[in-house]
Amino acid sequence: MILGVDVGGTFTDLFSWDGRQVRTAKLPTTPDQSEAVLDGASEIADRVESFLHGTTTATNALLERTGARTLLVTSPGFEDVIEIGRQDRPSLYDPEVDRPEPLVARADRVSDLSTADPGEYEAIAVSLLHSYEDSTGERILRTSLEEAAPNAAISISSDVVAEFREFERTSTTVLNAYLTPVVADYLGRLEAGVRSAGLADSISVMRSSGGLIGGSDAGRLPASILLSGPAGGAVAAASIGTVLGRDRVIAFDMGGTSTDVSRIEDGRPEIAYERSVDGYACRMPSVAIHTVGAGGGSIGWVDPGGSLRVGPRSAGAEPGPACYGRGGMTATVTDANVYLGRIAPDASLGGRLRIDRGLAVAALSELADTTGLTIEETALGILRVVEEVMAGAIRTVSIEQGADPRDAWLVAFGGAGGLHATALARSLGMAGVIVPPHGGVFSAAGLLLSPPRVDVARSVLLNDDATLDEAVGGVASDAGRRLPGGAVETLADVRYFGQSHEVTVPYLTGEGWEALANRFHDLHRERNGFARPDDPIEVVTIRATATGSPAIEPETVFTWTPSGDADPGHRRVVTSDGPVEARVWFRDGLGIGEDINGPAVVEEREATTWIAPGERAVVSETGALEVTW
Amino acid sequence: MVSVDPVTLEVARNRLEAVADDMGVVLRRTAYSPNIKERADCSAALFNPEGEMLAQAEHIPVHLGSMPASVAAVLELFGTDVEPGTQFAVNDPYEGGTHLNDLTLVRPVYVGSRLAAWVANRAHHADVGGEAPGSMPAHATRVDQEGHIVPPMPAVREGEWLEGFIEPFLAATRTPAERLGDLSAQMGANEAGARRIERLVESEGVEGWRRVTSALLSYGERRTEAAIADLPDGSYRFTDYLEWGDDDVPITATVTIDGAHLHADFAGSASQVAGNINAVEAVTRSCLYYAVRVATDPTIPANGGCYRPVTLSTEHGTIVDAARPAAVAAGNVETSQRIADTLLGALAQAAPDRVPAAGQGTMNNVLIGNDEFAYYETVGGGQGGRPGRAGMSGIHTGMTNTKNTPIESLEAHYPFRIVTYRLRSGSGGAGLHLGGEGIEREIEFLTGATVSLMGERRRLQPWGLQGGEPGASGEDWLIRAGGMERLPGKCTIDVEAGDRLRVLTPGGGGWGTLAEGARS
Repeated sequence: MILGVDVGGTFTDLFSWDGRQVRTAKLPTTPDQSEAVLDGASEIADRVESFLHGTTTATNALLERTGARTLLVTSPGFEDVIEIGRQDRPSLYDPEVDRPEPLVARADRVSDLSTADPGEYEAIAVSLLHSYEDSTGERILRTSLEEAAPNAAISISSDVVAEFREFERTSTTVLNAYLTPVVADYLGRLEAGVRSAGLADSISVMRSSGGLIGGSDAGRLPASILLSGPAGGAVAAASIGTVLGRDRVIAFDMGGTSTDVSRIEDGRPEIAYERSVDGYACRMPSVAIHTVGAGGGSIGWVDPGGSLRVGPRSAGAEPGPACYGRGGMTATVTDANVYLGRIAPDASLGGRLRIDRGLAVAALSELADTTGLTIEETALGILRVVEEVMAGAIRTVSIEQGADPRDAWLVAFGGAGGLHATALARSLGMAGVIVPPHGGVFSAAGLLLSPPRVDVARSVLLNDDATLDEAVGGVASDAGRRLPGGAVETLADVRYFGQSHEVTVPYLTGEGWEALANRFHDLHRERNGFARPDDPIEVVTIRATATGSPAIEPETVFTWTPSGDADPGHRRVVTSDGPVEARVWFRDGLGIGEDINGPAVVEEREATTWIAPGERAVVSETGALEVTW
Repeated sequence: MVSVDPVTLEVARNRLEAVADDMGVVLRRTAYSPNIKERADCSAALFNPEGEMLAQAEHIPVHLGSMPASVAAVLELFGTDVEPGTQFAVNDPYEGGTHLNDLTLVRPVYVGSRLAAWVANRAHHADVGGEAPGSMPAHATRVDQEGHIVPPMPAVREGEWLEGFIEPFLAATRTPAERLGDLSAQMGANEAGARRIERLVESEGVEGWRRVTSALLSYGERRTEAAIADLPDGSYRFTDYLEWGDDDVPITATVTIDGAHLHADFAGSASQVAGNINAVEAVTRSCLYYAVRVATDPTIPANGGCYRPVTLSTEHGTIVDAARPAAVAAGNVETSQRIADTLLGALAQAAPDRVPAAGQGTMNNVLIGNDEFAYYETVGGGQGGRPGRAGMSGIHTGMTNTKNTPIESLEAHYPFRIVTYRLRSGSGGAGLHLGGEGIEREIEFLTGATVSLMGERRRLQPWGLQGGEPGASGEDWLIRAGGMERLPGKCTIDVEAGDRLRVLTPGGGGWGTLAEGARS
């Protein structure tokens, strides 16, 4: 049996495959994440071959600033690089908006070890200027620090991220050191628990890049698992697209407080090599996920100029939307969906919580007094506004990257994804919507579909091909050594000489400088609209990725056996063109090939899909609904 | 007043801002020069047929509010009945521009035969000719010494550059290939914006479009009025100074708040000088809109409606409203900082709980070059102490926000090395909330070169507020075998291999009186 356990802010999701069937489970997340993980795992499995884990431990330690007290050692004169950053302020007009406080206070940043007592620190980061080129100085420092502080977790920048640009490298190294004690401790505790429960001998952890590494490696490189959770959803979205023959998809994961959007080309999630996590620069490959602070729990309000806004404030899981009856008094996106009949007026969420439509009406009625609209217009308005915000998020990952969304499919999951997907996809002229099966535990499913993966990068700054193949070969064999048997892919970050913006281009040793340059010119034209074939190029960084095979093939996970009755009924649903009588289906009972014409609502345990008039959904062999219009 | 419902208003606002954002993204993605691509020294906006701004994707405050002047200049010269597919160019500071480097392309958007909107974008061109590389010669007294002047003129027809614009422009610049790349990006950004507006207008109908756009302007006006009305009525006066040789050049602003209306009067400001620190009125206007946003509600979406309750009076021929043919290059980068400081000094009296003490108030421009290379950087400094907490250290404040160049990148490409780049300890003004610290940056030259400095707050200090102490003024030192020499804030010098330049940028002023025996 193979088990994936993905821990989110509210729920811990489990997904297992025993060679014959899928089992899923959902538990409330516990403060020590390993408790719910072990409870849930023991519930659905006795013994597993692979124990795969997505965790928010690193992210939470960063957001809550509970990482280790860290010493930073730099070159003399450059102690403040992490505070100065790129010199820009976070808000042009609001003087109150702060850069995040550096994770290492000024007193703990030194360039002379005799001025510090390394033994006092739990973690030590070392980042010297130009160490991506020559790591000798950092290695010597590490040796002496290991003696002076035998219990400290030591991260040196040439190991963590051997790439040029001193601020981003130092920031990533500091993040890594700061998070190591917390994350290594958690993963160690979990692994011991898994072992003593007899579940498995070891665990694998999801990285931000959409690949897995061993638990102890993850404990040494926590900066690479900051997007451990959402990456699984993107991998699963890519997989369902591949199975359905849709190479170009956009993953749309709409939850209670936020929505994650990412683009998938040729069946692979787009990778970003740098991102900011809570304001801290982190130069690690990660699925290029764009997050907006709007979801089912986002609150509708009227601003001082009389415009109806939705979010970024959210009712979250506690107290939640007004209709949850847990004390939420303000109208949210979910309340609007309940009022309009898209969510059943008496729905029970995961069997624990019953919706109370009366409370949704009360909250919307209060908001309607401020908007001067009817309750119905207010509810429809909340949906229109939130869908406009979502459309903006999709534009950010597509049009703004030079990619046309019009021939792509939207893969919608998360509790609220299916309620808004077709409206969004239609407004952007997209090809259709895929609502995958297991949407409530989709990130956990993605763990089983993710390959083991190692990423290695080294900056080289080459202006000719004298040492190109030697450099590429070195990085490739490094990646291969760290993942024996893995397939190695090599890439180069290339730019026009004098520019400061690189494009990542595939390159194989032996292809030569000219082939590399031509590929760069082509890709540059595609992304940026122009190329300068006569201008000299510069190779900035060499990358190698070694990947193994995922635990199972997507065709195996995405199969569908109906259970129970689809039990069609009817419900009144209000659309912007007036009320309609919609068919209501239980998704579990829908057979393959079933053809559903809108207006219709498809309900499942954790999610609802709305199919508007004029839209048509077909249940594919994978169990996914494919919606077109 | 036109009114639409709160939902239509919010959807329209999102869509128009998305158009402006898209234009900004196309501009940055397709631009060639690092100055636009990385440092984001560019902006894009859309306007109604009368030239009022509907939405703007601004990356740098000094463009805020100065772009409408470019559209107004085109409107005045060419009217509303122009050949479809035409784009106009302008950089003339005295006819819709700010300084020569900032070139703006303006394009009308017709739907059917009706003018529905204007789109425009502005980008900083690294060189537009003139008497020094970078087009900011320190010695200039006339604008024609600073580079090639483009009065508002047709520049593009049906996607092709018009010879009358492009040939002299490319002939004037030292970097024609890079310029053409950036200009093409500007042309493409306007085309992309125009196409999206055409689709929006077609789906809304021309009348619907007019209704929502004017409702959006009323929205900006309402919110700004409400924010101004929150400030106490009264007249607030403040004077600050530029350094011009040994002279202090005064800038005085009297800000009058009367209900929901705010007026700024610069009577008492110095006459323009025979140098390049003169600012044109559009720059002063931009600083005014910036200061009002900082001191009131920074979350108000910027559009032309926000400008309706804010008025400005300046005297032509002064340092804040220069008259042709005065040079103006530093007006945009240094004087703008001081105008903003002056306005914030006045507004701090009305909004003591919002306005920080003075920030570094300069961009610390450093230009290094010889026959082989040219390099330009600006250096961050201290933010003023804030009403609630200390100011940030080592950042850009006021009218700019461009990024630095990584040391490892510039050492790989230029013949100098950086010896130190750290915070300047103790430079923030004392107070209940400390001013942010400036930066100490030391550069060692590996070859002979010419160095130009253009900095402010070298003698005068960034002021504190509410009893806070001023921040340290900036210092520039030349270190050579013979010893150390303090340099003036604005100068051009020759250096040799082995020489070092040490720039100490100003700290921010402190905020609040330090309690007895306490330190924040």
